[in-house]
Amino acid sequence: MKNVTLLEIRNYFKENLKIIIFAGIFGIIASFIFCIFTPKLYEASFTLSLGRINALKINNSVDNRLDKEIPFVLDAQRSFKNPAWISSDILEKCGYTPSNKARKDLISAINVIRSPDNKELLLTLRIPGRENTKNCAEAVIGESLLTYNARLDQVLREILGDTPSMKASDFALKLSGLNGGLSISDSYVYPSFTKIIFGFSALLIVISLYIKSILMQINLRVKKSK
Amino acid sequence: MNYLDSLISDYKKNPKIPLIFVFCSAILYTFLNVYQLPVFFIPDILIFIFSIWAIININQRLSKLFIISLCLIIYFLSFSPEKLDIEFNNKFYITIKPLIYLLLLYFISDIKIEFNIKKITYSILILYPLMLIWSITFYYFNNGGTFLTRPYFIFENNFEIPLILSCFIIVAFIYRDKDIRIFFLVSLAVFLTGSRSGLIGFGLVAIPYLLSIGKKGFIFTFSLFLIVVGYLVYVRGLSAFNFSSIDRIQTLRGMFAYFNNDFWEILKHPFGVGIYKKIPIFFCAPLGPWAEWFTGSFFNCDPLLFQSYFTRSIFQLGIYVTFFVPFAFYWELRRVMGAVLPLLILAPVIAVSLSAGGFSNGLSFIGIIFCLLAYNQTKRLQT
Repeated sequence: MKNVTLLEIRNYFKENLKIIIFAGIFGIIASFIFCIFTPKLYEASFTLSLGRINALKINNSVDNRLDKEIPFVLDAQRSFKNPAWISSDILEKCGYTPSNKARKDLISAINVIRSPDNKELLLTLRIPGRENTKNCAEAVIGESLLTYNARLDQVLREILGDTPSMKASDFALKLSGLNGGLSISDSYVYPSFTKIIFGFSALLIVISLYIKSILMQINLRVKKSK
Repeated sequence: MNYLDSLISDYKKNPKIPLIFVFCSAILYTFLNVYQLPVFFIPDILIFIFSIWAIININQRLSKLFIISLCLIIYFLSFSPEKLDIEFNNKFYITIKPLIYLLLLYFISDIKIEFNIKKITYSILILYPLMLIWSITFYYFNNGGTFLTRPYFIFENNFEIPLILSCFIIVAFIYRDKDIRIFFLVSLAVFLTGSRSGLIGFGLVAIPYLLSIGKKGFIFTFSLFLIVVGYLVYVRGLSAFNFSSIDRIQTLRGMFAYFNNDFWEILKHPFGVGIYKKIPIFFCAPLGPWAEWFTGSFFNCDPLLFQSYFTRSIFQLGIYVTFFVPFAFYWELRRVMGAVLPLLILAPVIAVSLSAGGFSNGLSFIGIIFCLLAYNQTKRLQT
């Protein structure tokens, strides 16, 4: 491999100017087409705090042996990846035509992170259309909280059924709820025109130049072998 | 007469220049400290100016691996997932600096510039402990007699230590000057900084040094090393060396918790979460006051809060890129310097990467540039 000098770098760019320009223009055009035809995704983010159930002793101090979040945080996190959980009503509010494909698409648009203390879930939702995103997030929040608090009620009834000496008022309950507000993005978050144009064009230029250098080396070896 | 003696004799003949230099350095430190001026950009400006000069004079083989670096930079800038719309922007240029430095390294690794840095490296080794002493003295008189356990010159001392250790590597292993006084100056510098990662880097570099000097020298220098360790334990406290209570370990655990404490989950994110995403508030809450100091907002959880290059990069760039960077640095330096010397040169940078910027630190990269300059000049003189 020979040494590279500044003059050679300059000559290299001069010799490959056409490739650079064509690859760059092609990259820009491809990026424009991609950005125009890709649906504009808006983003909703919200935090759900999970319900908790504690048992109170008779003298009103909290007995933490029963302290648990309802539902269990892993179950809650995983449920958002279950397409069967998505009802037709939610799909319609999210702007989808009810179908199993739409359920799977919506599931992949939802991202869930659980807090280290297992008490909260941070959800982000990215789908096309600002109104759809807002309505969808509200529908998901409503459905989730309904499900969680119904589960909390069911668990409480089971405990009461097993321990007849206790009453519902002996339990401290914290219902699942929305922690803070619902945040909707001001504008679409994907695709980002400038980043995609830069990225596509730059990568295309680099790849084109690399392919050209490989082809030249192959050509050289073929000539040498002849 | 070795170079240090000749330098001291030059300074004695002409004491004005070193005195003015020390005096100006002390004034600079005081001025920056009093007015709290930003200095973070200075090393990068110096690297930028030097790189322009080096590329203009380039005359070396160019490794094809630079394409990987270039493609990674393009990917992270253009295709990293976006943060939440409601969140503040990250200081992502710091995150991609290791890849930029790597790209520059490919163009300057076999540098042909004639620039004598012998005087600079020796002067840095002599000046830096003096500046640390000045820092302690200045703080003492300005803060009601409080002793400063983490003195520094211009930048935080975790950023300055790799440069000092690079200068030591140049003197001891490239110029092959095993003068014990140099080791003493470096020990004093590490001693005064009170840096744990600096101690690790110093230990890694001291081992081959200790093995290359005679028995008497070994006893003296090993004792110095133990004194440095003892002082650090004293000034930082034993709890600072308790593995589980080290803040960098806790942030590593916090980062790991993001991936559900599952190593396979980290492997499944080949390019991490990207350079734009924030640390979710759940994982950032323990870092809250630090977030407020660093970014101005309790809720602005920039992944730079992870501090350590390894923790931050595994989160943002992915585990493969995180370990690709040191490997690529080593592979390029190995092409020029052989297999062993690059390990020594990178040891302090890797050690500091456990605690601070490391490969994204401009001063560390300046240290690597110094090593390249010194090596290539020494090689040319020998041929």
